[in-house]
Amino acid sequence: MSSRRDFLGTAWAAAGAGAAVAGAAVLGKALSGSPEEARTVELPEALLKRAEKDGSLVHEGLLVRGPATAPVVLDLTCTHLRCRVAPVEGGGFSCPCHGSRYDAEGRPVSGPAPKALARPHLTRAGSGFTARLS
Amino acid sequence: MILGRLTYGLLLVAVLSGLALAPFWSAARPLESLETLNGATPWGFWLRGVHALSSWGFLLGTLAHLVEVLSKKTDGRLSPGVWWRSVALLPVSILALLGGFLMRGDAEAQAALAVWREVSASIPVVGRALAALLLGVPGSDLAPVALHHAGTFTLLAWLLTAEHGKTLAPDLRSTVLAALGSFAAAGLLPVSLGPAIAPAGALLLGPWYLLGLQGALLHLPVTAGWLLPLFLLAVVGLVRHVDGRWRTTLLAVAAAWSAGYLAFTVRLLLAAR
Amino acid sequence: MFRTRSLVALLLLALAGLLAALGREGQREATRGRGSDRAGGKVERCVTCHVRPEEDQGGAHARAAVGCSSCHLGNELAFDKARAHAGMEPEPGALRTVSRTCGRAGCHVREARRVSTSLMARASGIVSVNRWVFGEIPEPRGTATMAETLAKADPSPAERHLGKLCAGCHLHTLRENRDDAIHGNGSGCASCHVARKLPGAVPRPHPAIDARVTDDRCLGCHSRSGRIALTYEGLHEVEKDQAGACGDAATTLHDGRPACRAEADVHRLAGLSCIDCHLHTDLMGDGRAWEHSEEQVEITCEACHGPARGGSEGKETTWSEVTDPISRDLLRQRGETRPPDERVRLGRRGTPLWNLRPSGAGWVTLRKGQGVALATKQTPIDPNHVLPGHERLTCSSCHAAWAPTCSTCHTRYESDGRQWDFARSAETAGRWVETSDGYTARPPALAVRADGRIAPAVPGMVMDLDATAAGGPKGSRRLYSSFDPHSTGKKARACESCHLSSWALGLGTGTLSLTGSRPAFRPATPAPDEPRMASDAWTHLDAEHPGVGTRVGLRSLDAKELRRTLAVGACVSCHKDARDPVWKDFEASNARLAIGRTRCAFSTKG
Repeated sequence: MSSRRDFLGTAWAAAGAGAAVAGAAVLGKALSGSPEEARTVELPEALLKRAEKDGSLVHEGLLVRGPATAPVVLDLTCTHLRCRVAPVEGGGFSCPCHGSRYDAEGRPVSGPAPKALARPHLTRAGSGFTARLS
Repeated sequence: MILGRLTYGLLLVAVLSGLALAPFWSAARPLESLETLNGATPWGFWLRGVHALSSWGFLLGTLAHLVEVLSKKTDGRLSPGVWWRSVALLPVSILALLGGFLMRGDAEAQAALAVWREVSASIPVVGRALAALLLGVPGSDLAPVALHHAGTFTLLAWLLTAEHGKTLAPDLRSTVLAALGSFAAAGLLPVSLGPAIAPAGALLLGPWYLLGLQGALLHLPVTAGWLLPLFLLAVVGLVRHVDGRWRTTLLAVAAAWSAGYLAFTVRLLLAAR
Repeated sequence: MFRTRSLVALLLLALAGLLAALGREGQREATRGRGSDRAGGKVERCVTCHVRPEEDQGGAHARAAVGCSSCHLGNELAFDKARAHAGMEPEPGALRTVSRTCGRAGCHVREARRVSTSLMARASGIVSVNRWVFGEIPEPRGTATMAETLAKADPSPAERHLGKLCAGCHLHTLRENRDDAIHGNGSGCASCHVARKLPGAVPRPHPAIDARVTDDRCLGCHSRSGRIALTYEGLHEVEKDQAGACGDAATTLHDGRPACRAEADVHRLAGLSCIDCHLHTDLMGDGRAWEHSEEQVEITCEACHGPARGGSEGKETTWSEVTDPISRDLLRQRGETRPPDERVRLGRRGTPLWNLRPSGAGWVTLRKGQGVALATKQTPIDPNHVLPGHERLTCSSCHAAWAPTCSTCHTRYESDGRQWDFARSAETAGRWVETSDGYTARPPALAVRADGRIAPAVPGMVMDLDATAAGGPKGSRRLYSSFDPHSTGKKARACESCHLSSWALGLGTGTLSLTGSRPAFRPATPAPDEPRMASDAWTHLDAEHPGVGTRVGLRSLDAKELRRTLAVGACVSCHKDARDPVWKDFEASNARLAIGRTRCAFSTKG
């Protein structure tokens, strides 16, 4: 019996220590204020030209459309809880998680989505662009 | 306390079947590997069924045992520390099961991962870091999820159960019964997988035990994803410390919470129709 | 802890469960495919089962290259049939899912988008004309599509008419909706590009997919309404009781309708298919939402045969100037090249006719399907083609030999009947009934289009409409439609067939007399509402306003044009040749006639 208690005690001590270390690390990371690394997606010229030719295309969760020299990019991540939205027939997008609907321009139409689909900041990168997602 | 012992047995069955499943699962191609297990591996579907159903049984047993303890007012027999840790078994079990659900890698699992990342991130100060620790960062594979599913939460669940049950392992008879029950259930109730991509316009649901929370998020801010469960745990935990009218009140609050949870479940199911 | 009875019950349950598991495992093992589970460099478990050679159509869409799910969707990761087939598209290319099948990224995105905005999909012309005829919109134009019409929760009488009769020929209409009028697969790309399913053969081989669309694919839809596909083949639909009248020429159409054989289009006789003349933009659209088919179609007679008198049509450039990416892709796919300095003719909006090539001093038409190149005659600059007064004539005004004609159409709605409703994918209450007293095949009448040019026309909607039971109007309509009937003859119609034909002039059937001081016409059957007008006409000699057609601005010849045409008609009986000096300056010839320097007597029947 005592061995069980000893074991449990040791186990709890180990678990506590583990939790403390992990907690400290998490807290440390959170408090260090290091900003979340923004995700960047390269949009090479060939891809932009294909999007222009086809009207639009989806690449790495981004909807790319418009002319290759001045593309319009929509982040297909729902602004509610960040599920991937999907294009729906007749234009617009819908979120499979909580049913938010957006119009073809990414503006919220119904459901819990609080704002329009994000438009990543684009910077020139050679003959293409780099999309920066916040 | 048969229920409690049987639940412990189910935990053991879940752990052992999980260990047997581990070699078949791939963090990089989770759904593909599970489809192979289900469709192209002899008895693979059954093994997966045993694992899923024993763990569901464990969760249901834990819940039923909690209701049993509260209704029989036997909570007072546990020391406050053990009581609170026993209450914590509930979220730990759910987190362990949720990890298993996320490891399916199908459309529902991917959606659930996104939602839980946001729920976790909404915790003040540590949220984002905690989400990254438990669920990995967006774009990463499911290895962190698997680690906490098989490791962290399973070990914690075991520890909490062992402490609560005052024994390091379930007795043989409970284990045999849990195993037989799981084996039978896995033959009778095959556990499905979903498609890799959600059908257009479909509403994804997530694991059955979290439908109420998913339904609540249709209407409530994302912080409800952790505040609501925390509130219930606090209420249930406090029951051990009060008597009479206060106990009745707290139990009524917990019951009302459960009714609301069921209502949100129904709400979501109706929305998905 | 446990009673024996409980233990026994549990053991029995466990046994049942294990037996069930054993059964499932046996079934899984027995039904699992044994083929490779990869295709096109990805996991594709469809091909573990679908291993039969006849399930592989080869070519660019070979099973090994694209698997099954690229086109048919479903769950390519699953092994078991039910789950693998969940969400499957039995008809890839159906417009409801085309963006995930043929039109998926990396495949035919551009084409899928074009087709989705083309008139075959939108059918906005049919929608607007139909609604206008029912009196629901002020003019026969609009951008409302058939899909929007079918989706309406509370459709108007015209929209219900469309949903029950017209929607069958519309690419959005689900295949399983289609009635016996349209054979094969037909709700998107497959309508044209997939060979007809062979009935009976089970297991069926995978139908062929081909860019070289054969005429039988066009026939399904274009054997209706203007029936251009039938006319092109030299087939003339008749009513059942008319079938005997054409004797040995009687035949039956692909869908059982009775027909008579007539003269086929000269292009058909030369072996040209629909796609040999029609450009990709004619058929699949150019991405713009045109309202009517004549707006979308780019090909003109002049594009191949050259202008009759140096008009604006028949544009030409060199390949170095061609930017159309689809034409370039088509050439590349066929392994053909064009030297940059090679001349190329263009459609109305500048799309190159890539299969028309210069050859020596002339041009040859390459067949897009099988067959040798065909020398393409250029319009001669001869008196027939530069005759003064004919400047406004389109080629088909003279060269269309005949057109299917029905001037006794009755449309009524019966609320106690039942009929398939394409909008609801089910048979619903109410039925539209169309009857006629018979079809004829005769030279087309002439109309004046909104652009002022003269073109063939038929009494498209000379009809009685009774939609009162559907809450719609009741009354008669007297509308002609203009289109190229696709009956180009070896020879142009004779002068008399217009100038001395009351039918051609839109006066309908009756007796035309030019002997008096002014032309006179006696209708064979006067119209009930206007005794001066024939029942199958759209104008009469004293009409204040010309007859109205099914397009904004489309009209019959007006009174002045009729008088001028008939004045010529008085002379063509004798002066049959275009080289006859009287035609050099008809005004002067007429002046000579007026002072009695010639002798003429004429009388004819229309």
